[in-house]
Amino acid sequence: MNAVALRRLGWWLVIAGLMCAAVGVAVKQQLPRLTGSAVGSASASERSEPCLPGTAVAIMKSPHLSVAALEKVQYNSIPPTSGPHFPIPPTPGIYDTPLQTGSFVHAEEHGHVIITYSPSLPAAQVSALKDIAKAHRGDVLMTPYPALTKGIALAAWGRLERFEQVDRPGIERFIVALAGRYDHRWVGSPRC
Amino acid sequence: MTISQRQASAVQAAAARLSLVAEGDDVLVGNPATATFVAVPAVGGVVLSALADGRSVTEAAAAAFEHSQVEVDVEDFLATLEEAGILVYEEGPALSGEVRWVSGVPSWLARPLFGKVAWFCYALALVFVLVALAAEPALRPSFEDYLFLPDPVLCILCAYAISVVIMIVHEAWHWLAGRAIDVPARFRLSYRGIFLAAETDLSLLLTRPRRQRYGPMLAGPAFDISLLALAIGLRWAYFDLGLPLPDVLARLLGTLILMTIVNLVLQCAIFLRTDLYAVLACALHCDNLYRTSWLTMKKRLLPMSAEESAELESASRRDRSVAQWFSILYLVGMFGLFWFLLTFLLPATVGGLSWMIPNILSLSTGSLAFWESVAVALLSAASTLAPLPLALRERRLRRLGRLS
Repeated sequence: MNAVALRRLGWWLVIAGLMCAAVGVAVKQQLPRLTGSAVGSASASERSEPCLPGTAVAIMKSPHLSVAALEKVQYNSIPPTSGPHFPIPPTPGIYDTPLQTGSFVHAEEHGHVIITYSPSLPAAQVSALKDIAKAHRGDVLMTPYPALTKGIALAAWGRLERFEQVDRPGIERFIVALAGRYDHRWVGSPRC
Repeated sequence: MTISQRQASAVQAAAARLSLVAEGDDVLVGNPATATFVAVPAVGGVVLSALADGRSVTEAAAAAFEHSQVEVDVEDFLATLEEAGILVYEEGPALSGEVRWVSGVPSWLARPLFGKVAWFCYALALVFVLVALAAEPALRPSFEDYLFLPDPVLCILCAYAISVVIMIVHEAWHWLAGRAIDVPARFRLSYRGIFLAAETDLSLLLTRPRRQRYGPMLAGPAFDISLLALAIGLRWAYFDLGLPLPDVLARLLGTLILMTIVNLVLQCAIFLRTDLYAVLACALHCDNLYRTSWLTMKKRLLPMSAEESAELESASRRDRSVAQWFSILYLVGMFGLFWFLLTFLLPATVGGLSWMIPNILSLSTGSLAFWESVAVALLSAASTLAPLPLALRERRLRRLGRLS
């Protein structure tokens, strides 16, 4: 083998090494994300923490579903705190028109708190809720929820709390305690 | 037809159409009509300047002797330039590959956007962005910021349209900065690795001194930074100062912050012929670093054709020297891109497909979600597949010598 061929062989070995490294790192680190993109959280364990605000809600299997498939899903709470959802999560923020359930359940799966309110909630109360949502930007999605006949409901993954009207300390306690508690898996150790 | 048979005025007119820019010991001679350039020794520039000034071939040879104390065969020199497609006579055949440059805006109109005050403002915007992102974590983008509308599929379509608008203005900013120094440009669709890209061809910057080229090269990122500063400023005012923006606009600002930061990060991928690559190549005094690097790497891996070997040999010494290390950067960058594909693009595609395919298969054609899904599927397919025919087209043009 001449010198040119030997040099070429060396370069091909370098390329093969880089290729193996890229595939190896991607598979090791990203395979769960890849499967997560396809099926969502297929199942998730319960984590009871009675000292946290709100009440625990049983965690449903939470695959990714299409619009059509989601129409047949029955959730176990209003609003839902887990369950099947769309594969695309919405951005945190304030929504004046109702977010689709399949959308905001995905946000819960990413550790966000959803502030839902009845369309009948007075405008001053909605405005006060907006102030709270702005103060906790990045953690909160706020949306009207027609299935809620009155008041306000806060939902996080596996956790729910209802309020008749805006109770800023109570609402902020729920947000601070539950935002980021779950992100496709439980984050950190139990707090109780 | 030899030079001696030509009218002196024809030779002088042809020389006057050329651009001459000093580049170290050489002079870069260019034909703006075809965007072809060649570096010649400084004495060659003296000959062409003399002809362009209306002096005869004999007088040009005398000027060259006075400059360098060497006899220059002017006829042979001009014939070589003619053969290379640089020197073109009006009575000659029509130019092949003549470029239609876009001028459009007079330079006096574009100049205020790229004067000293303007560049100071761009720098100020950059400082504001860095300070704001460092001081306020909530202003930093997350991948979730992409979906700002309640309807996720409509959101993908809107976000794509917005990214196209940003891309167009980014390219227009390059063009305007070129116009500010009286350089025209042309626009084309191209690709960067696996991405579709719009491109402003500013080849005629080579007719300007090197220090004047940086402004047009950096104009696109300057626009991105200005947009980013505006979006961050408005979002900060909405959250902390009570600026009464519609909530959907506040979320859209988050999307804009995400998009422009991604654009700016991608600019750092110099192995993808980004704006920062152009700045680097200019600072390193290279002429066609990307192509030379590609050929250098190919030579290391595979046998080359005779044309490719000749092309590599004809590259400037500087290009070949820098290509020794830049080609390795290129190779590592391509593997980085491969990793990006596996890590982010593939999961996003799988997620998107798991959403769209069941929608298309099971929803009725009367539903909005069905047509939205069809639109996103077509858009995804077009943006994923488009780089392939563009790459083949550029390969064909390069073989015809119409693309460097």
